[in-house]
Amino acid sequence: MSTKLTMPKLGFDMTEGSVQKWLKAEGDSVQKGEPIAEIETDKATVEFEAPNSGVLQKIILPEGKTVPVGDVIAILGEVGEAPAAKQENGQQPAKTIQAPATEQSIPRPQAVEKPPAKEEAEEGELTPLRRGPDKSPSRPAAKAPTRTEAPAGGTDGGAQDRVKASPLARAIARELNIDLTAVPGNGPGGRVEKKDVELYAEKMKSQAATAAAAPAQTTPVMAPARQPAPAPAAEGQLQEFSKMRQAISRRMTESKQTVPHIYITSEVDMTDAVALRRQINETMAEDSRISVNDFVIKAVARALESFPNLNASYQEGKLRMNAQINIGVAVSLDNGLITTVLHQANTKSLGQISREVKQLVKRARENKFRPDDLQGATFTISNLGMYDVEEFVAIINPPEAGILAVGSAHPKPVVVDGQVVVRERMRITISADHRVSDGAEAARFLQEVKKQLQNPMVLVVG
Amino acid sequence: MAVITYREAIRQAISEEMERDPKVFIMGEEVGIWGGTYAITKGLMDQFGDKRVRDTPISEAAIVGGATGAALAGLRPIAELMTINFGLVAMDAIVNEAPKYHYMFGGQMTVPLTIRAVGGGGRQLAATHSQTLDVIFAYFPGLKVVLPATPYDAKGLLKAAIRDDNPVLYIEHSLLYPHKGEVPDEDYLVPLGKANVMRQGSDVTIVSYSRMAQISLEAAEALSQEGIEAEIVDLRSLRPLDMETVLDSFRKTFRCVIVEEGWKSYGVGAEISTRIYEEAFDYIDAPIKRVAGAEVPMPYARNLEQLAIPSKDDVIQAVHEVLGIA
Repeated sequence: MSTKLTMPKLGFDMTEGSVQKWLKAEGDSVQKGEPIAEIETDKATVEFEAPNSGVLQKIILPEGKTVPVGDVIAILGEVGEAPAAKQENGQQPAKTIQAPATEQSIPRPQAVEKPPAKEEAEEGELTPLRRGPDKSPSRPAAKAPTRTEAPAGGTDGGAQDRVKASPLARAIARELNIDLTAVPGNGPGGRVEKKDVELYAEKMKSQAATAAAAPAQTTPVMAPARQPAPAPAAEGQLQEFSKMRQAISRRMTESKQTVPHIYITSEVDMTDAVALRRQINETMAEDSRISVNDFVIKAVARALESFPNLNASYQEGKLRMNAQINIGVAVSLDNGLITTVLHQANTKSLGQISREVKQLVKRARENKFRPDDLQGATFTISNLGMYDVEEFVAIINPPEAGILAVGSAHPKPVVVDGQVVVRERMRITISADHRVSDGAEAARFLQEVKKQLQNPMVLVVG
Repeated sequence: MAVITYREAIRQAISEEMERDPKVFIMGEEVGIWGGTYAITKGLMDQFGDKRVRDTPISEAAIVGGATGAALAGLRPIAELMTINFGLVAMDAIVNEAPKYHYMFGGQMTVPLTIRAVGGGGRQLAATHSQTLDVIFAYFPGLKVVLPATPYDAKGLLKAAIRDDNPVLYIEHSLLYPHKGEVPDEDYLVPLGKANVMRQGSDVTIVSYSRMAQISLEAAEALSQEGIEAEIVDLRSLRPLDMETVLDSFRKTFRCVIVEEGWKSYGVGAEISTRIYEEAFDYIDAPIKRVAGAEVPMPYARNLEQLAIPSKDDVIQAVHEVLGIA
């Protein structure tokens, strides 16, 4: 059995994508989980892994061409399996089709590497002689792509990948910009009906786009990304937003317009944490040193265990509880920012958090995400500490219930036991969704985070 | 409001219209002394005399042809055909004469003719006397075709037909004659060409008319026990056809079953479903189903006849199918 590999949906917002680069060639054998392509979405480049082991029989989508989610991009066959004898999908341009091995033994004039019929027609050549070479009946590809691109609603398609859906379901899918190939059909014979699309839309809404834009700009661990010198812009010139900028713009506007934010600030004494960090790092190689932010992540993840409301999501007037504590880490990039996700952060040691966050940031910088890197955050931390920021407030990343904005830790005169002394102080501000939580709860949460950070040994031991 | 039978409703409509307008008269086989084969005109001859309640020879061509002439001359005749099957003998007058004059002669004359006939099967009258020929007549522009399903509509539609200046074919169903329902005491009309939502529902639209609307209603009550709420649209007339009401309902339920007693091929279901495809394609959530008579000449044997005519169970099954729970 060969498997059709389709353009994956790598985020709530994703409707189309392209293969930036095929990491495997036709005929290569691949292992399950092995990256075979780099998929470029409007936000990021994500490695596409083989769903099972086999041979990459056919690459259908050429590099750089954008197709809707759900379109077939390649065929994965079992090891030793003969390539599919007939063309699986009408959409591939003829140039990417290579005559399968089994067919090469059949003498066939001029093979398949000719321009598609459509191009011929466009040349305006009317002479019937042009059709001559096309008459060979043994050439499936000669029928050429009659279809080049499926509409977003998946309303069209070759017989092979046609979705059985009612006209009403198609209309609704079109309206909601839902890819019908992803919707399970519960009608007779698996037909997608209205209720199926609505159910799916509901589900997608609730899963929401944790991977989309992150609230306030920040770079946690790593030094800020180099800003290329901006080209001098002409006065009044209108520039198109990049796709990432569009996503940030859309999601932040949505958050600020629909989520009632409440803000609470507290100052944390980081003297002990800073000292402990220095002590730990003295024994570590430079590239594995622990950051202040790692402490914050650990403290927040642990505190969230006692505050499930702040780890929950607002969903259609109800509270969706989340079993896992997945911390979103906002990472600034040259052209915007993105929230990568540290899954089950509360169960990880400080060292593990530090290593994984470094990897996440690295992949974000290189624009080579894994699908998990962008999905499932339940609470986000945005840290602008390295920019000498006293404090700031961040915008919640829906459907999360809160976000913590972390300022710089720096020495300050404070009163301790009636004496003015110098301590390392850091201000943290939580933005909480007031539909889900209240000021008092958010304040108690901050106290808990503070308690952990001010007793950093529990973060190392726990 | 009085509860009366469908038969009585028709009788009252004729009687009241004849009282109201001296130009209204009725002619047909056995309508006078005998009081009508289905006892519709019983007592009318005593009431209105033999000039206005006229027994005719056994010639449908003469009945409809003569009535058409009377209508052209300014009267408002009601021509009674013992059954619609005999209307085939009068086909020329019904479809090629009466509906054409007003149109062909620049509106110089009108043909305010009402043709009453009995249609449908279910009484073991065999192949030539049990047909449902509604669509044949509804095919012709210029002829209105009206088919009441309730006593209320029977009276209101017949009065409207008699007062209409166009030829109207008014087809009764013999099995509905004993059917009882509420009818207002005062004078009222049911406009021609306006469908009736007999029952509200949100899960499926059942489009029907005449006796099959009653069968659909029975099916809907049974379906309601299963939690399925069917909306029933009684077309009331096939021409004019009130698609607006059908489409309004369909845009609410997204699913449709069309129930007719006549044969399925080229029938009402074909017409309605095509119009839905044309005008509400994006609202279709399941294939539209037709329930119709078996495509055979009507059998005489009771058991076979019952099988040839759509039943409540047929409707229930079709609804199940469009809901995907067959």
